[in-house]
Amino acid sequence: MDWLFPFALMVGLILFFMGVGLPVAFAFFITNIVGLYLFFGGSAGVTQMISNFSDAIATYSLAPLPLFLIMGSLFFRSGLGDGVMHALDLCIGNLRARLSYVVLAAGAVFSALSGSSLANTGMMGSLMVPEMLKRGYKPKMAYGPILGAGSLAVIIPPSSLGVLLGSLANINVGALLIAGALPGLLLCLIFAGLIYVQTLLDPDCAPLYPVEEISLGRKLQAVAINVVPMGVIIFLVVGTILLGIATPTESAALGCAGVFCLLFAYRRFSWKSVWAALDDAMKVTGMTFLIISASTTFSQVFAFSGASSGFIDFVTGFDPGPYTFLFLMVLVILILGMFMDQVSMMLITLPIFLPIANHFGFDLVWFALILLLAYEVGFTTPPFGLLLFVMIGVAPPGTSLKTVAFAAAPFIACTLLLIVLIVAFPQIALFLPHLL
Amino acid sequence: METFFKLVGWLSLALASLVKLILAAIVIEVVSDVVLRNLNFRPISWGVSATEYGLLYSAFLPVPWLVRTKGHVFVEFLRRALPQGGRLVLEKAVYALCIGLCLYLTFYAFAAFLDALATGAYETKTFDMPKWLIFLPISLGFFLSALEWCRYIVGHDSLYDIDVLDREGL
Repeated sequence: MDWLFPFALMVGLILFFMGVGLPVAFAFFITNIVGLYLFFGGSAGVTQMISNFSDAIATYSLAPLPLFLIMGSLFFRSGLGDGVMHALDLCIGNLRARLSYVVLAAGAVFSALSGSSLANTGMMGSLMVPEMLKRGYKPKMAYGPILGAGSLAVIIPPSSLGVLLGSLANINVGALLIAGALPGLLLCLIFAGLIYVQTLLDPDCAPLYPVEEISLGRKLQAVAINVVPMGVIIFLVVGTILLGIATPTESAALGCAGVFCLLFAYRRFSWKSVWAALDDAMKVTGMTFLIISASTTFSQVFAFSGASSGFIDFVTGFDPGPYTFLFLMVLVILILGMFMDQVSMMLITLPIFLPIANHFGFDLVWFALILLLAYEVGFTTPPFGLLLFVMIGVAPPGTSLKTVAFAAAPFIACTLLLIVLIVAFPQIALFLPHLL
Repeated sequence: METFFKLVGWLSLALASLVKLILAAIVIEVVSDVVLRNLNFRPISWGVSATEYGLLYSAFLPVPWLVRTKGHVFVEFLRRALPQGGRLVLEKAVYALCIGLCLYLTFYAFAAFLDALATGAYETKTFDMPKWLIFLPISLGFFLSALEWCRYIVGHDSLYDIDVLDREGL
C-alpha cells in the first residue's frame, strides 16, 4: 500500500485547498509544491515544474479553445443570437410550451456556434425567462428547458470542454468534437420529448396564449435571413473537420472568420464588440490555461509517486468488470459535480480515470464523450451547480435554488438516460468519428 | 497606497490587453495559413510555433488581471460551512497563502529567466526561441499577481464578492 500515502495526500490536499476557497489553479500549485518536495527531489522539482509550463501550454492542440471562445463571444455580443431566437420564435406555431421548444431549438443552434454552456444559459435565461414567466409558465417549464438547452454546448461541437479533454487526454480532438454531434441532437430530441410529456401531465404548466398567424413565406424568410447563414458557420466548424479539410484549430479560425463575415453582412460589426469578444476569450483562456499548467505537474507527481499505478492495480484487483468501473467513474464525477466546476473536476479525475480506461481497452473517444456528459450534469446539480446560479442570477428576485434545481432534475435524468444509451449502443457516439 | 495599486492595475491591464492582441494575431495567422495552403501557396513556416508560444503568453500574462477582476475560478464548499467570523479569517489566510505562493513561483521563474539569459539557451521549433522569453511572462505574471493579492489583504476588496453572472467558465 505504498501508493496510499501519496494518493491520499495529493487528493486530500487538492480538495482541501479548493474547498477553503483558494482559486483552483493556486490550489493545484500548492499541492504540486508539497508533492514535489516529498516525492520529486525538492526545489529541483519546482524548477522542473516551471520549465514544464511551456510543454503543457505551448501545444497546438489547445489553440482551438481561445478561437472557439472568440467565435462564440462575437456571436453573442454582436446580437446575431437575437435574430436566431426571433426566427425560431416565428417558426414554432401555437404549441403548448412553445417558448420551451424555442429555447431548446435556439440552445442547439447556439451550442453549435459557441461551445460555452455558461454563455448559452446566461443569454437565453436573460432573454427568455421574463417572457416565459409573463406568459404564465411554471418555473419547471421556464428554467428547466433553458438549463437543459444551455448545457447542450458541452457535447454539441464545438465544445470548449471537449477541446480541453481531447487535448489533455491525447485523444483526437476532431474525432471527439464530431462524436458529440449525434448524441447532442439525440439529447435535444429527448429534451423535446420530456417537455411534451410534462405538458401532457400538467397542461397548466405552460398555458397556451394567442400567437399571431404567420404566413409560410414570412417564416421561410426569417429562417433564410437569420438561421441559414449560421449553418455556414456550423459547416465551417463541424463540416470542415468531418470532411477532413481542416484540423480543429483551422476550423475554429475559419469559424471566427465566418462570424466576422456575418457581422459585416448584417452590418453589426463594431470594434467594441470585437474587443469585448477578445476580452471574454482572454479571461477564460487565461483562467483555463493556468489551471492546465498547474494540473499537468499534478498528474506527473501523481504518476511519479506511484499513486496512480498503485491505485489502478488496487482497484483493478477486484475485477468487477469494465462496466462496473465505468459506472463508478461516472458516479464519482456526479458527486464531484455537486461541488466543483467542470475544468477542475476534469483535471483531478483524468489522471486517475484515463489509466483505468486504457486498462480495460475502452475506445477513448467513446469514453471521453461519456465523461463529458457526466461533467455536464455537474453544471446543474445542487448545491454548487454553476448554471443553477446563473439561472438564479437572471430569474426574478427571491427565486430559490430549490426551485431551479427541481426544474433541472428531469433534464439531468435525460442526460443520464443518454449516457446509458451510449454505453449500450456505442455507435451513437462512434458512427461519425469512424467516417473521419 | 491607492496610487501604487492603481499603477499595478494599469500594468495588469496592459498585460491582459497584450494577450487580446496576441489572440487576435493567432486568429489572423491560422486563417491566413489555411487560405494560403488552399491557394497552393507556401504556408507560413513559423506559424504553428508562433501560435504555440502565443498560447503560453495567453496563460501567464493575464494572471494578475484575473486576480484583480476575480476571474480565477474557485469553489468554496468548506468555506461556506464556516460562520461569518471564521470566513473572514480564512479569507485573509487565503490571500496570504496566494501572496506567498506567487512570490515563491516568481523566485524560481525569475531564477530560470536569469539562468537562460546568462547561458543564452534557446528552444528549437520552426524557429529558435530564446528561453528567457519563455520564463519572462511566467515571472512577470506571478510577480504582478502577488501585488494584486496584496490589494485584497489590505482590505480593498473581497475575492468572494462577485456576481455569479460575472464568473468565468466554459
